[in-house]
Amino acid sequence: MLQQYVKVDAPVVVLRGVRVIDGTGAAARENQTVVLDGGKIAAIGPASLKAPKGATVLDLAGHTVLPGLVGMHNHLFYTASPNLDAHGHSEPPRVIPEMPFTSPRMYLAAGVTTMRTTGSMSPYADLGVKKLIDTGKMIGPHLDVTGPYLDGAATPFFQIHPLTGPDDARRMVNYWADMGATSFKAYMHISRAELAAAIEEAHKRGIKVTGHLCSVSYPEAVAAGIDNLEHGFTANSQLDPDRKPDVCSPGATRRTLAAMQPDTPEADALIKLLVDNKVAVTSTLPVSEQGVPGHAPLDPRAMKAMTAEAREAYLYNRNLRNTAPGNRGAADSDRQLRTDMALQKKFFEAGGLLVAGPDPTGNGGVLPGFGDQRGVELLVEAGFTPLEAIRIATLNGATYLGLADRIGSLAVGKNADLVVVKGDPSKTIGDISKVEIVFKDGVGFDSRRVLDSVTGRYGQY
Amino acid sequence: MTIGTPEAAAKAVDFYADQGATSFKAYTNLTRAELGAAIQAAHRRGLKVTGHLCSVTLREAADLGIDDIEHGFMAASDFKANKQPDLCPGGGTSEAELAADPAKADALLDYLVQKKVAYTSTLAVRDTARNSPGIEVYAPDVRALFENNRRQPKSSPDAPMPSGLKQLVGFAKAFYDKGGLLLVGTDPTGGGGVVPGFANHTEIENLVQGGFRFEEAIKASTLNGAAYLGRAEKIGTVAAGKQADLVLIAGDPSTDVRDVRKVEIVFKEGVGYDPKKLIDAVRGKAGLY
Repeated sequence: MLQQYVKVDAPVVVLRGVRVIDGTGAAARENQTVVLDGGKIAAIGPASLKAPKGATVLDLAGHTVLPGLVGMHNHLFYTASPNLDAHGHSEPPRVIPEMPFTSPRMYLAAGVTTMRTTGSMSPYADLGVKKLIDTGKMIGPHLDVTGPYLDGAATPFFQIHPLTGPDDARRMVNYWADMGATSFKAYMHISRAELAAAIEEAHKRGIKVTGHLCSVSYPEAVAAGIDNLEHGFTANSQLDPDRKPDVCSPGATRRTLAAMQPDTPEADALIKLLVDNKVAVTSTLPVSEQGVPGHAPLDPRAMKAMTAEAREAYLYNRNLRNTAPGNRGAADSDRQLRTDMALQKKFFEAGGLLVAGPDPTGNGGVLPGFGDQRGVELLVEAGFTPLEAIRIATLNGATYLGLADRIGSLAVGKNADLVVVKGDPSKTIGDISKVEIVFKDGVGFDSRRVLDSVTGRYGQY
Repeated sequence: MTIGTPEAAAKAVDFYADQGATSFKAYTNLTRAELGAAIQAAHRRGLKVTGHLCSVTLREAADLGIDDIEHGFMAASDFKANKQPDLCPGGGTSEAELAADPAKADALLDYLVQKKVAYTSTLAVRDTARNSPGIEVYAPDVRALFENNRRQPKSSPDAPMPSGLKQLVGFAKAFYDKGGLLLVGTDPTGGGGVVPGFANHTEIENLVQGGFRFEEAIKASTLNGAAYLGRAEKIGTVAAGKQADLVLIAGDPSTDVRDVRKVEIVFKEGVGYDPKKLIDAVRGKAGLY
């Protein structure tokens, strides 16, 4: 049944005539031969490299090979606003249904071979998806399953368990780590004490904690020992003049970002703090971009993957953002995006570990896989070179996950997790979405067929 | 979640009871030791455990102290010839298997009554060929999935009750008549033809068609559930002093059970809701969220 999605499945595969972008940031190498053997990269060399006897040889002139993307803010769910209408009205509650069928396929089809679920609304479902993928009963990326969101009493989502204090945070971490969660994520209303307790328990087990913060500022989270901060510099509340400890005030993060321009001493100090403490930052530009009026239209293939209802909801949201009168957030959002981009660039240049993920939530326009590709394009818009952007989306994620010895770059001995795209993303970054074959552990999936199999289903299951 | 050991079962019960769960359900692949541990952990906290079982027989579960059996004899692996301890032979329990030994079936019903195990009848899930009212509220794609993947060919609500369904109502009636606590549910699964709310009416129709008096069917669908939940003082009957949770129907379902679908107002704690408006608000969206 799943075999129909496999394009190449042979013990030894040779990719001939390809341009290699190895994911380290090194310059692209033209006309290379890549040999995959037993799920590993066995050789990378010039055109003269001989194909092993009996190998399946693919002539891929005009194509580029890059490492499989490592998605670091990738959910397996959809965010639904029941009965959303053209005026933006919907009925509570905001529902987060799991997309266990479509999401893993869309990620894989886009070249994502490893991803973190970055906060789970249905943790048993995320763990179940991982098990089904690992045992070959489903297709999708390798998963780092993040436990359920660690959020405080003020959580706005009914599917999140509101923590009742530090002891509860410890209990949650231990229970879900026992169940198989391999990372955790703190959310916008957690208290400093709960966050510190969760981090302490997770670190005892060698598990990392990231956070989409608000109630806790970036410097406070660093003091608590956090490993990673989500959403670039857009979720920091430290410069809000009305800030109250442990409380997420509306607008606190927006005011902080507005005050933290890249050339300020505050920005310098924060970036130094993060770099000195080896705290990674996750770039999630696609979800921010959706707030900018007139942003790039969605890939027609992404539109096709949605249910009619999901497409309608996205178009209503998009239209409102473009046309709603007096929408102050909309007016600010482009400037906010530019500031975040500049801070990310500065963090990277200061030696910080910048990773990337799309965050498929928001207005419904960030889709699994398509969002990952868009994230790389937006990094280039932010001023990174295409090779730097690809490194952020591949090797840096692998480094954060502690998997850089196995994945994240193209090197002999590493797992054969790689993407074949038509064109040259080192010159035209948009070519990163022209995916043809996605190799995961040496098995080559047919990107188009995988994507076709979810037509009209994203938003349903 | 998959339970690996009795300790894990007890731990899961404690973890979720702490987070606010007020009941538990065992499923088809638990071992007897795991089920026993879960029941003990739940009972220590005064919480009840039901089960849609298979790996554990109904008789074994009754011995372990289970409080309720989902799907009644539909899920009774007691009648499977190839049953191995702690393993689910799969395939559900067929009409023929249930008919093979009437004395054994009768004795098992007696045993459940004696052990004070409740019995949840879920007939609508076996009746989607005749009855799938409410499918028009589904999102079009969801409805198409049901229509295109019917488990049995479509018949008509006027078709006679299929023999398998008749047999299951018969067990429910025998259990009820023996003094057992019969509960009623719908199980909105079954390939998509069991629509929440609509199927509750199907259930009542089925009970009446299968030999229950209307008043008995209503008691099983209301007071018995309240009694099982320990809320019979507050809900489950229309009586002075009780909570105003009640349904206003146009017609007389005690003479024509089909009138049970003619709901005009649903009162919950005295607030009367308009069913038509509620259904209109989810029309075309059910199945999505």
